[in-house]
This record gives sequence, structure tokens and C-alpha cells, in this order.
Amino acid sequence: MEKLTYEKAAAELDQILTALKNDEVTVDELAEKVERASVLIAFCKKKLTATEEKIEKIINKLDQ
Amino acid sequence: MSFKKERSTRLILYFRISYPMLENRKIFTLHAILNRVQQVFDELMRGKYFWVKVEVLKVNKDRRGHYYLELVEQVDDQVLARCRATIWQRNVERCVIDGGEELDKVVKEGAEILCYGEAIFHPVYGFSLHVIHVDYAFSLGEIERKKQMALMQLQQKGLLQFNKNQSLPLVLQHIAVVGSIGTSGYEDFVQHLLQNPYHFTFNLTYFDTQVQGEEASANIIKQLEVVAQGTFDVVVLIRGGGSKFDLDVFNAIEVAEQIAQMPLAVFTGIGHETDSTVADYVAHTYFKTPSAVAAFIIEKALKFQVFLEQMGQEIKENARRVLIHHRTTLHQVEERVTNLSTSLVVEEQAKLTQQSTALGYLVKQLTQVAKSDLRWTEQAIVVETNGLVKKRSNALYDNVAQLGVWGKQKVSLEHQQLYRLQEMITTQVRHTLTRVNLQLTQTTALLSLYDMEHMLKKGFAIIRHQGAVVTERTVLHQGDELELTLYNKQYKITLASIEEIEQWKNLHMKKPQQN
Repeated sequence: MEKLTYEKAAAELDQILTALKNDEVTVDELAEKVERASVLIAFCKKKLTATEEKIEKIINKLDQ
Repeated sequence: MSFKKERSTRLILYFRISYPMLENRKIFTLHAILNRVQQVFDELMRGKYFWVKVEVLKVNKDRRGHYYLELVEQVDDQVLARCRATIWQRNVERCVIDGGEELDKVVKEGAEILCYGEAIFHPVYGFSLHVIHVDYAFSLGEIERKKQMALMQLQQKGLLQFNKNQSLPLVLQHIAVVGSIGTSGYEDFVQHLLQNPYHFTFNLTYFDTQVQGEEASANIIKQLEVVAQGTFDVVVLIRGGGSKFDLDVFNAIEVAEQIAQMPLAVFTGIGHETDSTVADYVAHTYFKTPSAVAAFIIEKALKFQVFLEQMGQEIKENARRVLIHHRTTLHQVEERVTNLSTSLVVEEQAKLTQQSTALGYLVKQLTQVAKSDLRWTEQAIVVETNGLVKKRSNALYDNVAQLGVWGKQKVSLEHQQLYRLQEMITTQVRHTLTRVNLQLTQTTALLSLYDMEHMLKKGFAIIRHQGAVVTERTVLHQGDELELTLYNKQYKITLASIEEIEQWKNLHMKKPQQN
């Protein structure tokens, strides 16, 4: 599987959202899409948190 | 050397002139001659002071403070005049007071000086100049003149700006220090740099060199060459303060050329207040004191640190902002996905409910229709069945009635027949019984006549077929086995041929039956 990046995840989320908005999602797909969206959101959150921590660490290092 | 030759030639000439008085010649002592020379010299020269411009060839200073000089005048390496000179300690003191500088800063080997004094001849010490004053201003002017000349030469060679084109790293950390270790300026520089209040670390490499004296130029050039081989951010050339007359080495064109052509930036901190040296002109940047160089280096590091901190802060803020932005966006997306999917589900549920209601209604209707149809069919079936059953049962009933009638008739008919049969049988039985009785009576009567032995003796035989006596009813065929019993014998006979012979008796016998 291709490696998921924040950017890709965000783009896919956007797609899902647009599809939802435009009623392009059938009920069959809905659970799948929402599931996917939640996975992507979780991924993005995790990534953001990790990035934040990393930045904090780096900045703390800079401050020392 | 040329000077010595000249003198000896003159002496020879002198002897040629005096040579003719060989017989009664008068012989002088050297002392007498030189005393006379002194006398003549003093008459002419004593007390006559003059200014003279000379080059100092050698300087000796004794522990009492007297100066013993060798002076020379030369043009293009050609020596035109040369003599000794003395400056007594009291005159030295006066020079120092007037000039404000130590005398040896001015009166030094290679320096051009303007001095004031008188000529002296002494039988023992020979000719010398007795210098009572040295013009410092002249020396300074001379230095300036030389400096200007050097600068012009450098300008012509295009070296004045050369080192200024060397790029300077953002932070100067690897520093080559060229100077005289142990001098105050040197120590100032090192202390200032290493004990900076910001605790920056500087990597100093020391290149010890003389900064004055004859060897200084060569020494500095050599050390600069060594520095050029290394990897440094900058080279700092320092001198720990001193007199304006001590700057020769920093005005030397050779040193300036070396500085200009260094592959890295050269900072000078030569420790003088008023003028700049040639070295300062060709350097990348010049500072008035070694401490100023150190301060600049520290300030540069500090600027960079401040810059780094600002950048760090900015990056931090930007990173935070980006993160917050993303978090908000993500949150919004999450909410929208939730809302949209929920509303979609609700919508679909409503649709589904509607559809199921419609379906329920439809099904109900259909069921009702089917039910009523079924009821109709059921009723029709019941009616039909009932009709059929009635019909059938009527027919059955008719049949049964018929059957009853027929049965009764048949039964009465059978009864009559039975009765007739009974009658017939009874009659027959009575008849038979009568006949049998009659026969029995006859038979009993005849029996004695038909005694077997008697019969057999009379010639009768008994023929049996398959155990049974052959009668008129027995049918015999060819091949049948018969048993023939005679009175005293018994035979087994197989019939070869048989034929019935029609006899009258048979006919007779048949007659009563026909009746």
C-alpha cells in the first residue's frame, strides 16, 4: 500500500467531504466512507500531535 | 668595503707627497698627529651645531642610557658617507620629554632621522657626531611618506581592496591569532574573547611572532603563510599597543602584500589611536585595538545568536500556527463528515421508513385483495362441493334404492330358486336313496354271487389301472400299465394297442339313460 501522508490524507478527506456534500455517497458506501474518514482524521490528528511534540522537542533543544 | 678602499687610496697619495724628505725626516707619534688633527678640527668645528638627516645603521644603548649609533647615507645601496654618533643620556631624556616618546622608537636601525648636534674628533675614538636632539616630527613625516609610497604601490598592484573581497562567515569561530604572545594587547584580545559574557566558544590558534625589530616582517609573513594553509574563519593580526614609531612592520609593503593576498579575511588590531598603518588599509577590516577586534567578533556571534533565537521563535510560532490551522480544519472536516453522514443516514432512514410504510400499505392492500379472493374461492369451492356432494349422494341414494329393489328381487328370486333346488334336491335325494336302497338290496343279494374267489375261479380276472379297478368309465390308452389279477396269478401288462369295440350291450346299457 502506498504510504499515507498528511497531505494525501487531507486530500482524501476533502474528497470524501465533497462526495458527502454532493450526495455522491450511497448508503452502501456510507459506512465505509465514514470509517475511512475517521481513520484519516485519526491519522491526521496523530500526525499533528506527533509533529507538535517533535517541534516542541526541537524548540526546547534550541532553547537550551 | 668600498669605503675602506677609498681611505687606503688616499693614504697612499699622502705618503707619496711626503716621501722625498727621506734623509732628515721628522717622525711624529700618532698621538701627536691626532692631537693636532683634533686641534685643527676643534678650531673649525667646535660649538657649531647643525641639523643633519641620516639613516641609522646600528643602535647600541648602554645601561646608563647612552646611545651609540652608526649613521650612514646611501643612495641606491651606494654608501656616500658613514660615521659613528653618540647621544648622551641627558640628551636622550630631553628628547623623550620633548617628543613624548621613548627615543629608541625613533632612533632605530633603518630609520631616517633628523638630528641636531656637532662634529667631534677624538684621538682615540676618531670622528663622531655628538647628537643633542632628534626631531620626532621629521621621523613621523618620514614614516607617513613611506606609508604613502607603500599605499601607492599597493594601489598600482590592485591589492588595496583585495582582501576586502574575501567573504566573512556569519560566525567567526576558528580564529588564527597572529601576534606576540605575552604582550598586553595579545592578552587583552584573548581574555576579551574567551571570557565573553555570552559563553560563546571560540577556537583560537596562536601564531607567535615578533611585531618589532628586524625579523618582525619576515616573521609575520611566515606565520601568515602558515595560516593560509589552515582552515580558519578569519585571521587576526594584533599588536599590543606601543609607539607610533613602532609600526614599521605594519607599514612594510611585503607584509601588506601578504595580508592583501591571504585567502581569508584579515582583521587588524594594531593598537594605535591616530593614524592607520598600511596593514590596516589592506586588511579586510581594521580595528583600533585588539579588544575592539574581540568585541566585534563577539558582537557578530551575538547578532547571529539573536538572529537564531528570533528565527527559532518565528519558526516556533509559525509551526504552532500551522498546526492550529490544521487542527481546526481537521476538526471542521470531522464535524462536517459526522454531520453529513448522520444527516445522510437520517435522510435514508426517513426514505426507508416512507418506503416501508408504502410497502406495508401495499402489502396490506394486496393481502386484503388476496384474502377476499380467497374467501370467494373458498365459498365457491364450498358451494360447488356441497352441490357435488348432494348430487353424488342423491345418485348414491338412487343407486342404493335401486340396489335395494334389485337385491330384494334377486333375493326373492334366489329364494324361489333355492326353494326349487331344495325341492329338487330333496326329491332327487329321496329318489337316490330309494335307488341306492334298491341297489343295496340288489347288491346284497348279488354279493354272494360276486364272491371274488368264486369269481376268479370261474375265470374272471380283475384289471387294475393305477391301483383302481378298470370300469366302463375308465379310459385306457396305448402304453398304459395294467395289473391283471387272476385266481392264482398276477401279471403286469403294458398295452401295446387298444381299441374299443362297439357292442350291443353298450347300446342296451345306454337306452335307459336316454329315457
